[in-house]
Amino acid sequence: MRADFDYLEPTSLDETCGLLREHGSDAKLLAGGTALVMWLRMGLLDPGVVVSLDGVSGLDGIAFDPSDGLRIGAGVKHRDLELCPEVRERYPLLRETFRKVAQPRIRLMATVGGNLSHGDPMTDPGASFMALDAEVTLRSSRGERVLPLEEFFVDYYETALEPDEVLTCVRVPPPAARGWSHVKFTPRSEEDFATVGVAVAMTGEGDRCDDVRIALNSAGPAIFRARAAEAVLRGREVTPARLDEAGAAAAAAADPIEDVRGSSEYKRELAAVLVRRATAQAFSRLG
Amino acid sequence: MKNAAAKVREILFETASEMLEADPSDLVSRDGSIFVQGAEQRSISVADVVRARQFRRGGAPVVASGSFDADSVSQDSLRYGNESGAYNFGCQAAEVEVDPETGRVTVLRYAVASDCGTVIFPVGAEGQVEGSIAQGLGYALIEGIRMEEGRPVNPNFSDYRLASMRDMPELAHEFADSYEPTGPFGAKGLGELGMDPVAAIISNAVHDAVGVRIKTLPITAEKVLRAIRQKKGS
Repeated sequence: MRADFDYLEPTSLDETCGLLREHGSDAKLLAGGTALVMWLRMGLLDPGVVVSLDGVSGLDGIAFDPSDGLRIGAGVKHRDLELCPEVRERYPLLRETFRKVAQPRIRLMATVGGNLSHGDPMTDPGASFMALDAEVTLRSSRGERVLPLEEFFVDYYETALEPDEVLTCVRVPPPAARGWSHVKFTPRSEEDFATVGVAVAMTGEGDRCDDVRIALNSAGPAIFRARAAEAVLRGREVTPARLDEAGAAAAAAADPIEDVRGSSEYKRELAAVLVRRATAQAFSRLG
Repeated sequence: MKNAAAKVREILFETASEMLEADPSDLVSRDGSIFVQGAEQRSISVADVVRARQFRRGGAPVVASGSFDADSVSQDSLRYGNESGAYNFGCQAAEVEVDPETGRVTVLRYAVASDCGTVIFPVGAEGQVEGSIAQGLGYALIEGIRMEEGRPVNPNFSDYRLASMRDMPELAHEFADSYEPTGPFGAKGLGELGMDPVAAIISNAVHDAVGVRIKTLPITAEKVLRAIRQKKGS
């Protein structure tokens, strides 16, 4: 671990953006530190400047508005989102997802914005946010832009963030989907990263699925939306055969990376089984 | 422990005998005090003795160590010997659930009986057993170094997982009512007794559940699923 980087402590977003403009990709943002510090220690990053977001105002707070939805400051800790009463009441998929991330010691440190900005395909929040049609606000000294999360994750540890940008806010639209499911497959340890993870949000009536969004983590180089699987179910009667078909479609779209949690082939098979189970559970919750 | 405690007592009595102006052989210790037998008003607290011994010219904390080896016989040239004169015995059972579609093994309940002779320190002994089951389950189901071109690729606790509290099944545990005549107070070792059979127990339980025998550790979900498929195919 290189220890000769400059450590800067801006107090405002404007100042932060100014520092990022000045240092570009030589600068790394430090929020909760659960990912950055590990990468520094492993020698995977060698920044000249580390910019702490700890003292930057305007990144905290969770606010719910019935027409705007949920706005989550990028600096909000996982644990705070997990325990937030509004989230518990209105966004059970988020509550379930955040409850399962790592363990409480990590959740007390790691931030929502830091997690997404890291672009790690194995973490859970991205898939659930994607299933809920969330969007992120990115800010730089050039201005602000808002991106659907689906366009934010680009590739393996690669996001749409430019070197001079900072993620400031996640917005989740007002809750519409009554059907939801989160499956985190962790056969080694509950505290492990998902071998494969699936998030589903579904609307519908009776035997029919009106709309569904399915997203997977740990099933490819980036967290992704399984659009072909969604198309199998959207606007149609939900039958066991269709759920099977949706699972198979998701598996076909998966491009899993072999690691200690399993081979690529195994994870692809898991994607089929878990998407079938998750969509079945989401559908059962509609009733 | 017993040997070390006896030495500590000897050191304390030596200092106390100076302080109480009595012969060490006339001293008795009870309830944190040391006093002269037959003249219990002549007493002093253990804490005061320790303090007096430490905070004086050339003083030192009261420290002693002891060791005990149950009658063992060193290996001869043919490697015959006897590791211990007092073997411990144990019995364990597990109830597992196997997901036939993913291969996942979930340990639902675990039962342990251990024979370590007299249990001198129950809380510590129970902790030892619980810890050994956790370690054994990690060994059976989770832990494994993965090598690529001669290098470990998971040399951290994020990729090399251990069983955590949340991974522990419901655990029932009993100590056998037994007495080891060669051991101190009838005790014998406990140590790694608990973790020794865990992998075999889990492997047997998986076999009982889905009829496949996994012979390498850890028993991963992927191995179980492959074996189930192979069995169906054959």
